[in-house]
Amino acid sequence: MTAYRIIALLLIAAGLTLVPWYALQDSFYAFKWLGKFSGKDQAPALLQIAGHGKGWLILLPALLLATVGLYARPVNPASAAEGALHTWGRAVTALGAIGGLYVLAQGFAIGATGYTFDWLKAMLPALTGGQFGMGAGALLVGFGFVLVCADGIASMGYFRGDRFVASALLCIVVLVVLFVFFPVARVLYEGFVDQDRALSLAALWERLAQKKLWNLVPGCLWGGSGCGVAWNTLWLALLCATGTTFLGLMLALIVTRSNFRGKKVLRLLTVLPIITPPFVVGLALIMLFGRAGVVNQFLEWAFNIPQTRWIYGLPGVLLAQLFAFTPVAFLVLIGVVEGVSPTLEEASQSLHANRWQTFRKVTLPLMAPGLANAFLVGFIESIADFGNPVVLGGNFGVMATEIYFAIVGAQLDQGKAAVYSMILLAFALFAFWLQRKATAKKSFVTVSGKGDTGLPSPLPDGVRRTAIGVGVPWLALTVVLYGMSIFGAFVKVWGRDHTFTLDHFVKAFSIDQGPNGWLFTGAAWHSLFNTLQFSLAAAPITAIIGILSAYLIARTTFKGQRAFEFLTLLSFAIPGTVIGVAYIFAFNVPPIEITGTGLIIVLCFVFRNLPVGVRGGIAALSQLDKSLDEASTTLGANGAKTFRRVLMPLLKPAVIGALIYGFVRSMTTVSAIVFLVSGDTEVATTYIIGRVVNGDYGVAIAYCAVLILIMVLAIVLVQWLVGSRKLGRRSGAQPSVAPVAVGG
Amino acid sequence: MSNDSASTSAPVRKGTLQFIDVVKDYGTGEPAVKDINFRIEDGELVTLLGPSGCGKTTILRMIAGLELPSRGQILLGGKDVTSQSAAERNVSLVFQSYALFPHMSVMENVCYGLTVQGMKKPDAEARAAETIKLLGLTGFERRLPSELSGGQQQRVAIARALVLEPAVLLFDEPLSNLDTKLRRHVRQEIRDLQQRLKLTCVYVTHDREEAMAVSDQIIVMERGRIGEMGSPTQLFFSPRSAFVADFLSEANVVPATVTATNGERATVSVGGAQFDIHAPGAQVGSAKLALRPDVFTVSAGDGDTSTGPSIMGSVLKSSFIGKGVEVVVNSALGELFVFLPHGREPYSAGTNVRLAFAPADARLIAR
Repeated sequence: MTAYRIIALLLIAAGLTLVPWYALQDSFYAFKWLGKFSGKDQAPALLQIAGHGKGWLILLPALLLATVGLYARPVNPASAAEGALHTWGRAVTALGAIGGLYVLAQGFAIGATGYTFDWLKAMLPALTGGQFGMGAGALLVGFGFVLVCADGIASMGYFRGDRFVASALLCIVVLVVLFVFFPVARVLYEGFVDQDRALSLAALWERLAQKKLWNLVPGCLWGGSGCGVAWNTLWLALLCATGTTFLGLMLALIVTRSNFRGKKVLRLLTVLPIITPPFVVGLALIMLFGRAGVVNQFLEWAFNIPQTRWIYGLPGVLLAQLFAFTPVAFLVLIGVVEGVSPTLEEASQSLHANRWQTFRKVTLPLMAPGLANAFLVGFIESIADFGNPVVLGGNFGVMATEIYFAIVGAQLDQGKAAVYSMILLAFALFAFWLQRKATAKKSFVTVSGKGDTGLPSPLPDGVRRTAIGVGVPWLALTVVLYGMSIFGAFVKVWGRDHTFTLDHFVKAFSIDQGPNGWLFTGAAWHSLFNTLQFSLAAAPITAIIGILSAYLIARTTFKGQRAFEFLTLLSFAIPGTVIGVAYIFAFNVPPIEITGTGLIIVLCFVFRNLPVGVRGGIAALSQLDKSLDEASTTLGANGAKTFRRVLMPLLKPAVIGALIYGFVRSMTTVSAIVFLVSGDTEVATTYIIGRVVNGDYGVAIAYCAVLILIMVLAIVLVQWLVGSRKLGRRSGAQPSVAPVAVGG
Repeated sequence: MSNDSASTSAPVRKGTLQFIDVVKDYGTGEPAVKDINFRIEDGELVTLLGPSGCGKTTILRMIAGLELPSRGQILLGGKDVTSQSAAERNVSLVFQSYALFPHMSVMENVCYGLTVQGMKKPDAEARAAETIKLLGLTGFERRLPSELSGGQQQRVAIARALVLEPAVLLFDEPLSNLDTKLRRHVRQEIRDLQQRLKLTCVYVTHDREEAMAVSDQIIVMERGRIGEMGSPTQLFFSPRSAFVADFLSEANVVPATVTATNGERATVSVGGAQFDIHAPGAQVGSAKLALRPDVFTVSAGDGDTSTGPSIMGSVLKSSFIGKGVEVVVNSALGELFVFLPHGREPYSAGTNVRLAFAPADARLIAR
């Protein structure tokens, strides 16, 4: 029997006999369960069947025995009759599938108080008790059966008989279905349920058609009030997407097409959105333009203009989003502008087009799909944004914040949260779909491996002046904002008492020496340690699943590959608040009962960040010649060996990139986990929200500064590690350094 | 592997490769290749030759197991390997791009196939060292591929494939990444190695000179089918199809008439000239005649100096290309391409010429 099969069988056997079947109240790793091995809550499945009346689990050991029986009589492909191997493989597939599905099905069918569904009660014998959430045993058994099922599929000849590919694919699909699809489906379901927990279309309609959502008063979009939340969200997203695309394009033109001296500094801007905790921009804007802000105080002092609160509402949120998301558009558009081949522009000029005509008729149309992409990315970011509206929104409600208040506020209206989530999800998926369409058509953007020798044509004067005129002040304002937020961490009370102080840092991060060594007495330590722990746990999982998915998408062929790709990228489009609500609904009850634990936060991080890992992996793989895999295969290596010995070493930079990105993004996530944290599992961002809500800006900003510092350190450290390792020293022709314009 | 399936037929040697009615259909209209039938004997070097897009690489990849046929059978050493994956097949491929693993040294590259199949590292290195020596790469073991020249990289690629002692060694356009001068040298090295080790090789190229220089047999591919298979001299001097005549020797294929047959000989009439040639199986009626560019002797004017058959025409264009003179002649049979290997001066356009040829150099072709 192959090692693979032995491992699968051992997993199932161990899951049934050695570890607790159900989730434990205290930590699994405390190993207290070893002391009460046969206890009602701690017993493994076999003892649960024998001693605790969990008779329905008996199918699982039976399936294990059947699998052992099949494995003991494998079919020899060389001597077997036609189709015998296929039949055998089908039997193995069926056993694995039944086992895996039964683990889930029994969990869903029998809850804490017995049967979950009435029709089951009618059909099946009465139960003496229920069961709680599944634990380590169920996990091992389920995983083992998935491996068996994949083995069967591969034996039937699918995936060219490669068990590695089959099992990787199956595992990822199961995980994504369980932790992305299932929760989202749960939210959608919740929208149909009325107060009495009965399915009702009327309840859905009542919530969908609310005035609060769709109300439209003439002029309300232009600074008035009374617009529905849905309109607010869409309108804000349109403005934000237009603004970020325009600003991003101007900055990208400056960096790639002008002789502006601060180009290098400008590129640093691209790192900002990655390392900025979600409230920094909002807080800085309040310091600058808020009632007690610098600008207002100056206006009052100089011109006696009374202080206003204009920053709270649409203008403030929009401004904050422009600052927060312009760097994202900038990042996208640098690639787009650089992708326009100078040769085409030179061709245009040699055909007697002037600079403006060239820009208008050649450059701009070539960039159009890229601009559309940047626009849609801005749109998606805006509707999913939670941090800025919650800080600056005031009475201006958007979907993401309304969902939050529906859950945590006094109303506690799950149905409302569900329906709002539904609508927000619909907006996001529509934009995501449009974006995929826009980027799919970018085939005419010319990116060839050969160094393009042409000179990018200079920008028309008008365009250049606009770019510099808009870009430079914007850059200056960004610097002021970030400087402001650092300054704010070191003064007593912003706007009133500007004496220098380290009080905020002391309050948050003080360390005292106690009788038994150092004590982390600062108020923020607990949440910081949690954040680091969860982020560090999630990053490698994200990287592994992401790179594996990328491998399956880019390097293998199977039916439904497009669907699989869409599946793994989908969670990018699901706004964080929706994911958060979905996780609460889905994982608050057995069989997967993990709310309030660190696990749910780690899982949330992993599946939120998965698309980034997948995209990074696909991009990295497309740089590697496919004949490398084929060479490995013809030399006798199977999928797993090729992946480990050829692709992984060459993908190291991509893997490390995915690791660091996963880590950093996890640290700054707020919208998705704001519902998921408990007192024990509070993280940095939720702690900061608490401070902001209490008006304790100093500590909030001090904390943000520490977070930024940690993330910068992490990035620098990794850059340094990767940079010092030369990978894949292939002596390709280096793209020629752009020639310096002569006589210009 | 069980040995109970004792072969009943005559022993087939391990490198014998057979395609039976193989079709590869990607589901995009016409199949990529179809009706592929051939047999390659142990120890032969066979070239798949054809213009780009003719399906030669598809066949190579099916031999390697990188593609599986849609229909048909592939036999290797008498055993059916049709559905075996590339990893299971005893076949190695030298890639066009070499596909050397850039993060591994020469030694690690050559050892790779041995170690992934479970050989202990010291044993693998000992065996790899022999192969490295065989290919004259001793001293380069610790280098990375990027630190080698193009020719050396290719030898590493060959060593990596050869060290597994494959039943069949495949070459996918192995010379295409080398400069012209090196090509002649490397193709001779490949041929020498193949003959010395009695390897069975399948070689893909679109260069007819390269194909003729290295091959025992050539399979000429034509739009997804096998056009013709034979030895280089056979195909060059006695093509059976217009496509092969044109592709291999740029022969002029002109309409002719068979006026009479007599045993293995036939009387052929072409543009006024009539002569007897060796043409077994010819039938009376219209036919096609292949005339290679180098079979003609050209004489200016109408002066009848030769006794053999000849064609009259006038020069359309002519150019000196170093190793000879090319002439395009407009004749009653259409435009004829003529090459004069020892020519020194091109003809001026409009010159009336007489193209004479020996009947033995003309070939009747079936289609």
